[in-house]
Amino acid sequence: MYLNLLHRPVKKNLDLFRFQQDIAHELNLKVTLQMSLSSLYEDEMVAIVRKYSEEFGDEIGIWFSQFHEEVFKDARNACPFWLYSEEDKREIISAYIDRFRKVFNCDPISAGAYHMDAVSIRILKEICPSVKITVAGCFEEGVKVFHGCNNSWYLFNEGMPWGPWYPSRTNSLRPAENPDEAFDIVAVPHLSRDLALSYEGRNDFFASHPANVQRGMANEGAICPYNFNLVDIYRLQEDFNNGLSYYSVYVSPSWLSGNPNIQDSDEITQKLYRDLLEYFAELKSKGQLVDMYMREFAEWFRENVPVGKPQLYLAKEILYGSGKHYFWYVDPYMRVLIDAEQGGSIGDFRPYAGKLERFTGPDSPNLAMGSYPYLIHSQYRTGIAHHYADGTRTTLMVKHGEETIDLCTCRTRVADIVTEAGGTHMKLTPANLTFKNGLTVSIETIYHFKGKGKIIIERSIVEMSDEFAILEFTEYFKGSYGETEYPQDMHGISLSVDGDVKQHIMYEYKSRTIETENAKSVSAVIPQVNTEVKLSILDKGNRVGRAVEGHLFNPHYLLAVDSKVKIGNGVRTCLEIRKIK
Amino acid sequence: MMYRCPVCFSRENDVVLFKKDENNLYCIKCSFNGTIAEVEEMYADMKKKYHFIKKRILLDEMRKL
Repeated sequence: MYLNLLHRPVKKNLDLFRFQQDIAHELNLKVTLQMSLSSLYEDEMVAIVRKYSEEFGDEIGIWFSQFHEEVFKDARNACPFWLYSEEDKREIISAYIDRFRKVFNCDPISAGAYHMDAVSIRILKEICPSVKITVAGCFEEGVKVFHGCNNSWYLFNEGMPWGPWYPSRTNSLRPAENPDEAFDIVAVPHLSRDLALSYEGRNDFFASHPANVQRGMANEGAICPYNFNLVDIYRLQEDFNNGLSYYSVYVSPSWLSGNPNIQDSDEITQKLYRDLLEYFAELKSKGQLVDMYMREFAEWFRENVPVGKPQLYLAKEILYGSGKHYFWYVDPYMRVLIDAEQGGSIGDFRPYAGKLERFTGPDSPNLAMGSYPYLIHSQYRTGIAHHYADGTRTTLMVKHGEETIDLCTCRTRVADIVTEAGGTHMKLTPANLTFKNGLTVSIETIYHFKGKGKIIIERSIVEMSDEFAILEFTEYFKGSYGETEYPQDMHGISLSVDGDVKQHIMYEYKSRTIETENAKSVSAVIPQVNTEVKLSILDKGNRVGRAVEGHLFNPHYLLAVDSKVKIGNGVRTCLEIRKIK
Repeated sequence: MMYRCPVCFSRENDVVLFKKDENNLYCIKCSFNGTIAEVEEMYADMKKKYHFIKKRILLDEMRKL
């Protein structure tokens, strides 16, 4: 595991900052200090930071904060960095860099903000090309944190990678496809989040931040094994990523005393912080963790991880004791979450293939909304039906006689993950189905992530109580698009089937169905996210393809392919996304 | 120490309680009101959902989880 430990010098919390520093230095951990513009203007803080750097080697970087009274003398000074216009961002970045150069007589290598959009990174690189690494986002910070902060926290950067990435020049949350498309910078997340619970609930409760875990009340006083378990679930990812796992800890000193969101004593809060750092020191002493300054990690990442390389994450739920598995895959074409608890349904699908350009600020058509839009989000947009119709998700419908079983009702686990030259293959444990007539069936699903926006979904019957039974499989993709739980305007979306019949309709909320025998593919074009999504049939034999339009109480589109299946036969369907313009 | 409203917190919202009188707290966003003891009891109830709150899972155990 590679660790970046960051601290933020803050004058009003100087004792707490010193407390953090003392522990790190006592444990011989490398620290990167990120200074706000205010602290760069405070002689005492500059002297303290310089001394830390000289004595312990701490790296000094910059933190684009929420207050800019040194830049703007009006009400604008209290707006978070990522929500300024391009013109104001340039002024702020210039002020930071000028001051940093004046104070330290050098250029910074590392920087950070809760959200560094593509405009900000471009300006930063223009003004200060020496910056090689930046904190560029908070994984899955968005709707749930906005709600959790009384609808007042305007940081929307959902849909980003969870680990380090090369940000693209047009949308910093999207990993670049090739070096030409990438900024000359490595982006890292602000914290390492729990990839099971960040999807289900507030990401800021479950992260590499002991005080955030206290905020989520996942501790019993000073007892909080979750902090160590989260480190270890990240270490587990080395098994699937050629030995790479990355962990980032960045706790502002204000969290260590008197925070209204923590209902523990300061002694407990501070002990939990110390305990976490002591665990890092223990892992380091065993050769299981390498702590790095941010600049060191940037160098290591560039030397060892090529642009465009996929990252995998097997999220096992480690707090509720549910036994749930989620599998995450990210590459320059997509970020996808497979929910093994729901039979291997896609629960979150971000179509990076569309290369949607986006930045934040009053001069952006998206204003504060920096998130990369989804095609599927089963938490925000219904997923499996609970009240009325289902919402965005994928599944396999399995029909025998008059009965249909939805694979989302079958619990599975991730059984195997293999990566080779042809892609990544993730196999689930078989889903076991029992029909009312007594027929039992075990169905295995394998996802083949082929790169370039293609996933092959392979379904097969591995066991069946009646070997002569014939089942009907329906590969099922129900999509929409958006960034929040509210529906967007679906006008402009087109649906198509291609087979014996070629048909095409524009979305008008009329609940129409188009269908063909001998289907080759069914597809939807969603111009709002520059994306076509298509299900293509890879096997011989008659398949019925179907595209279904929704209505205002069911504002989605459905792509479906029906197949007759016997034991020993499999069904392979290619789920493909591509850019349309 | 400040307390967050246990009802709002159960909805994943952070709302700090106000002091009603010497012994009672109240929430400005919902109708919850109660003593500190009641608030702490509700916190304890909410933690019951975390079955692994005291469970250390080592790396090798993670692999089998």
